[in-house]
Amino acid sequence: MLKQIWKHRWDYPYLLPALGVMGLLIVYPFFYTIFLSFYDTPSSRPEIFFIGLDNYRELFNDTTFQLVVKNTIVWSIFGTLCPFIVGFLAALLVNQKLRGLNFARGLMIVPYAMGFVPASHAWRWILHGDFGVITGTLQSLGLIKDSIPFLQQASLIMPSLIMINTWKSFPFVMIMLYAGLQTIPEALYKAARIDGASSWSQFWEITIPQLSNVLMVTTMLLFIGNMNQFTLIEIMTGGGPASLSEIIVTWIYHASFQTLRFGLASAASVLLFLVLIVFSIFYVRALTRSAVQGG
Amino acid sequence: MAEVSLKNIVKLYGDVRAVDGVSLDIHDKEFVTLVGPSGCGKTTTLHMIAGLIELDGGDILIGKNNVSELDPKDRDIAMVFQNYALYPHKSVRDNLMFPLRMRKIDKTTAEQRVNRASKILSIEQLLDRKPKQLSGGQQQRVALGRAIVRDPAVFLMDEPLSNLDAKLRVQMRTEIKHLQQELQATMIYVTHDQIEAMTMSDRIAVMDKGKVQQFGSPDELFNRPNNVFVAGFIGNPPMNLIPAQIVSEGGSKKLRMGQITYAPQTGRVHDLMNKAAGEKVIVGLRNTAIQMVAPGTAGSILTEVYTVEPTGDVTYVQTNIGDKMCTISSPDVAYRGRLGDPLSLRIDENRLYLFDDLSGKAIL
Repeated sequence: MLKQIWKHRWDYPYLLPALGVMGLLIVYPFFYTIFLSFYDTPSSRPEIFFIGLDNYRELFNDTTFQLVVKNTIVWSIFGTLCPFIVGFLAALLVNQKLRGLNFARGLMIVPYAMGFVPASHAWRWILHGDFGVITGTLQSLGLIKDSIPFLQQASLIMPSLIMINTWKSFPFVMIMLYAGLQTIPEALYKAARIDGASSWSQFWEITIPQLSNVLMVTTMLLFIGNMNQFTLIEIMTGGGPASLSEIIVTWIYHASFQTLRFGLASAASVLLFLVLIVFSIFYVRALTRSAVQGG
Repeated sequence: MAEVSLKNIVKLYGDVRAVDGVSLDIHDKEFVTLVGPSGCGKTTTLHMIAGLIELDGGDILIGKNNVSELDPKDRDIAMVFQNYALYPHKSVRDNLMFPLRMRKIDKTTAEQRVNRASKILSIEQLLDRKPKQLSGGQQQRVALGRAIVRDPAVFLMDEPLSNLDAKLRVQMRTEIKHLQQELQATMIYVTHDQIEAMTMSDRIAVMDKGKVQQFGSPDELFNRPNNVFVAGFIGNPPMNLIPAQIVSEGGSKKLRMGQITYAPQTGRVHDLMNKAAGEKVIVGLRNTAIQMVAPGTAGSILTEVYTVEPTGDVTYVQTNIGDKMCTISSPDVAYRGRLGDPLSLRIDENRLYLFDDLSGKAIL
């Protein structure tokens, strides 16, 4: 080991630029955020003041932050579950050997290929209570009288956002699971048919166990992606109205750059980091297990 | 157990007739092999019997039942696949239990059957392992086990030995044949390896271009091939097939093979030559039907050594007869001729075959 290091002693300097960039962009902000989370950072003064765990205490007692946590949980779970179900069904569909499916496959990838910013802007207008195409169409057909304020009415905001996230993210699930389905040997299904398994049994006895690692990895990626989903929510609702669609990442952004409470925002960041690291461990485990088992 | 009848079955892939009117009557408890080169339609035929591929024509009967329209699970068959197709996430025991569980056989009976099958195949100590933890030969046994727990009417085997190494293949060959006799099973076996077919089968169907070229016992195929294809396919080394012309010289018919003009001695070959439809024929000679004799022996033909291939118990000599590379067996295992050494060869005319050049059919 030491011998190897000594042998390559002149190779290490070449890593320095990359390590320097990583240090600057990842390591330093990481530790600085933890550091800041123990400080009060009044916007009116240049100094910062050590306050121990007060930022954390404030977070736990803040009813708005409690609502934000609740929103984040709802958003992450349903924002994962819905695209997952739709994506899985789509993957099973495109895995069939039917005519015209190549076209459908291409079409279904469109939402995923589109950037989050234009898609969010487009949907904001489609769902607009007064000028939106959905309300407008329903009204002109005489199906509704009053406009539907999808992004203003408390009971509709989260479902609307989750629906758009489903539209945007299901192709990712579809692609991952379709790739997974393609790796299942055809012979297993043939053997199962001869062994007397119905289509339903084949699905539960072969497809699901064979896909288990891909299912795990996909769910984790989607879940972590959702917890960090800033663009869609910030553009469509900005977390409002009255924090009804605020999730932790948008809250951190608003706390830091609108109310300038860097210490408090840092404490929230640390908490979010701890949650995400737990899921990341599951993710890495699923990945290494799939590498060992070969899927 | 049951007999299996294929009645003029057809499978089309676009314009290609992958299986082109195959008819076979397979007896109860018989071991029948479908053999042929890749693309000959043998695997498609087997999959049609299994119900994995739909028929485009004809009928398949298992026992007295027409199963042509039935699902695989309702045909009372079991199949062993080339790559075993074991369920990778299930233990060996669960793999063996699977077909029984799917058929809702009660647990005690199922366990008894699994134990019996694992005893027959000596895989009792592997029951709790996953397929990945098994060697190729062990996986093969588990695949056989999954077939025999069902106690099906017919066993279908799709090149089950081709993923094994040469030594294990010979061993499993013996075991499968023994198993078939022990279970008194009707077995339909697909392989491209004619040695497997010859050593294991009661009868062999040689297939080419979607058609059965000949269906008969290994002896029949070896000694009375219907056509050039069967003659060239069955036997190792394959039969020497030499293009020839029937010519009349000095009032008698002779066979001209390239530079060599051979005057047959026996009435049998003259009869065959008389029956030939045209001048062009193909002469078929097994490697043992051409003998190396002392130089100057009457009726012998002269050639030269191309290569000598000692294999231990037999030494093969390659030589050109009538512009065709032929393999003959040296009577002396220690023979080590060099390139260009002269050879005197005598043809055993009782074992000479003539085939029509155009149709390839044997002239009988």
